Amino acid sequence: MSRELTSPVRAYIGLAAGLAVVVALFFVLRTASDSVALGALVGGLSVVALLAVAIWRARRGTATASLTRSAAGVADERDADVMRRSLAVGGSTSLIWLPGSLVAIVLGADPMIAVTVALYGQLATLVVAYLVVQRSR
Amino acid sequence: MQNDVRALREAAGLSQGALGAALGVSRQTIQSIEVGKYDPSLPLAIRIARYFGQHVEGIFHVS
Repeated sequence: MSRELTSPVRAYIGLAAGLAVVVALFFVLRTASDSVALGALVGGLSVVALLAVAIWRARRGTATASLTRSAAGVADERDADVMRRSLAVGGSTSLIWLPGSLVAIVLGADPMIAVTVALYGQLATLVVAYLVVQRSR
Repeated sequence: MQNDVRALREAAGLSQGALGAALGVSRQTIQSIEVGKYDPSLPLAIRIARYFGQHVEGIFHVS
């Protein structure tokens, strides 16, 4: 797969969609708690801003990281392969994290803590998988 | 799979980045191909071969 087949337009659409989700989340959360809504807004906008910088760097051709190119939609075939393998590991391990959290809840664990541990465990698995796969390819 | 990409690139006086730019892939992809960590897709292998004016089997060898 060449760079031409992964259109940067998809990255811009993703950027716009991410921005829309962050703003919508802010208004939804504001009905429950202003501070939580503000935290989600700041955090979300930070992520969107980082993604925008990644797209800008990739479009200029100065992006040197595989993840940056993938996020910007200009991944080449190796970048796509690394991402695909990492997501495959993440998907496979979700079959452990999610049932694990359910079992923990059934056994009496606090649901919020169990779900949070599963979420961050899943994210950590993805990050580690990405790093390992990238070094091996 | 082993290959002669590094030797051909160096003989042509190209950097990994320059070859990557010519082929539409990143410098890291060229580096990974050269050290044998990553086997290119058939379309990319053909592009590499055409770039150096050779056949695919003249550059890539099954180890």
